[in-house]
Amino acid sequence: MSFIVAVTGGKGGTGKSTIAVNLAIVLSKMNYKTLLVDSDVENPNDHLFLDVNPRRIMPITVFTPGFDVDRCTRCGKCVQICPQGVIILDDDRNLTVIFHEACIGCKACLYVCPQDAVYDVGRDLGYVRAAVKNGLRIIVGELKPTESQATLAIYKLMCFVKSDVEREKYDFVVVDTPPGVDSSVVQALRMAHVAVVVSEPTPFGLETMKLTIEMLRAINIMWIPLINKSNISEEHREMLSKLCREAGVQEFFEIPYSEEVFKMNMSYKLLVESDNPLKDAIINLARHIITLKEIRNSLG
Amino acid sequence: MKEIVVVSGKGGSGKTIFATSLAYLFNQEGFKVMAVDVNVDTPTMRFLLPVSKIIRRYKVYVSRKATIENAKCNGCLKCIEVCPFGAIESREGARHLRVNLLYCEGCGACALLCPASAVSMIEWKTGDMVLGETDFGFPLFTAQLEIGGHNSGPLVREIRKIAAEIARDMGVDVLVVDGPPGIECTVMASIVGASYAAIVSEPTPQSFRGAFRAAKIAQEFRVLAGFVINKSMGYPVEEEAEKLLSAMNARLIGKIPYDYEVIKSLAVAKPVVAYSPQSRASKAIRIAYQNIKLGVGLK
Repeated sequence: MSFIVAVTGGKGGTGKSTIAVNLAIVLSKMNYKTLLVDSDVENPNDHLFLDVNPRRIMPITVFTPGFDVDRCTRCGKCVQICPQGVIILDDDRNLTVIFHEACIGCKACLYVCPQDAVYDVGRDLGYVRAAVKNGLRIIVGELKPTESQATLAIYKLMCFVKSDVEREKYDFVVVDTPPGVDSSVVQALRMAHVAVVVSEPTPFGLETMKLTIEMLRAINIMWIPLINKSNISEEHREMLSKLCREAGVQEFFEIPYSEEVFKMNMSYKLLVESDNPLKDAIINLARHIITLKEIRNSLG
Repeated sequence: MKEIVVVSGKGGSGKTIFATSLAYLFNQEGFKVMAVDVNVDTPTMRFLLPVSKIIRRYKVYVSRKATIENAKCNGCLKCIEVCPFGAIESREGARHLRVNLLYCEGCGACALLCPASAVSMIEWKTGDMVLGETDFGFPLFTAQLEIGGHNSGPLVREIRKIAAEIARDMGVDVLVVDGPPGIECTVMASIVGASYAAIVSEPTPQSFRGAFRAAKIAQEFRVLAGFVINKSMGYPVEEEAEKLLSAMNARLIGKIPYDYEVIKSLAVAKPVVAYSPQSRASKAIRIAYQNIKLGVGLK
């Protein structure tokens, strides 16, 4: 069975993408069949690290109503039922959707119409893009700049990923989530067996770690803390590890700050492909995850 | 009243450090300033601008969640079919349905369509808003979304409106707004109608990519924008970015050097301009601040 690892961590810029990409590469190099999913649909950039340009394989579509003018009796049932309030009568007394971005495709109007006058015109929220690099497959979710339904797009992306995982039977799936703790992140974590929580020892990192732990408790999944840039403040590093211990997690991984890693990001070079000793932390993390998968498999 | 919004394309590029520094500088020069945190998902301004006195606390109940009464359910499963977020789960088949509150976004389509009226919508807390007085004497308005809540452009717009009303009542001259990361709806909602958008980027291709899009949004909505390169180290990528900026007619208002003093200021939880006013980073922030002041016409 595929083992699904989500890389998350509340705050932006802590190193989620860096860790997710490097972890996926390490697993792939260890000859495990691996899929990397970039679910940060508002700003996907994992593929930049891999230096590939994934091609669009499918639009992310949702139902959006269209109205058959001849059948419609203007009874107004769809106008009343629309939870987003975006269906109105226009100047010519024809029904129309005024604000497409707000329509969530619930189909309430389709079901309620007594005349069968509502049909699906569909709308693309964004695209699923995919590429393969050195045996590692990457699936990227991309939201169109004019669209605002990130949560819905991520849900649809994860439905696609689920079917892909069932078909391809990967050993590991690494999901890079958006920053934050809102509903879009919750959807991205939906299938995960374990979450790697990337944090940094700053007051911001500490606070978002608290929020992330609360979110992971609500979802009820196992998590592994990773303190990135761990040497920038000893005091906050200690507070972070205390926070993890109090939440019942004893062990954590850490990567000290290094300007070299920052420069690598700038020039699309990968830590695990360099000879920097910091890559050992990622290799250890990968080994830990492999053990977790084995434990899970042995439990059936 | 002038409203200055700080945004970036990518998280971790230095929005909050820059925004808190701006608020501190405005206050220092005698302006009546209020700091506003609309990064509702993970608001962090309050860590650099510690609040010593809470003036008012507001609870916001505008969200809804669906709940199912299984005794009334007729087993048609229309609710599962209609739910756009896959939030309704049936464990033991029909008539044993459960709404997973983590995934329910409260659109109410299930309640509207249920022929047996077994689904109802209950009121749900969206988040908290706190107005406090900072150690530096000026007010800070912070909004915090409930965990797993639905973050949206309209929510950000609403918070900005409330903050502006409070600020007007308090006779504030300048609002410094710390925006959310990203480039989509919530960021658009933070920029629209502002007097100035300060776009902070670090010198990496990932960050520039998002920041340029933020600059385009500002241009589209005719909001005056200035670009700040943070953690500048004089790499070739910065030169390229500068060329692109001038081609876009966007102003570069400051280059903040990579400076360890900034990291130290985080450890003691103070805006860098307050912790180490003579540092290279603080000097660069003051130049950007002067540019913004000129841009919005404050003297």
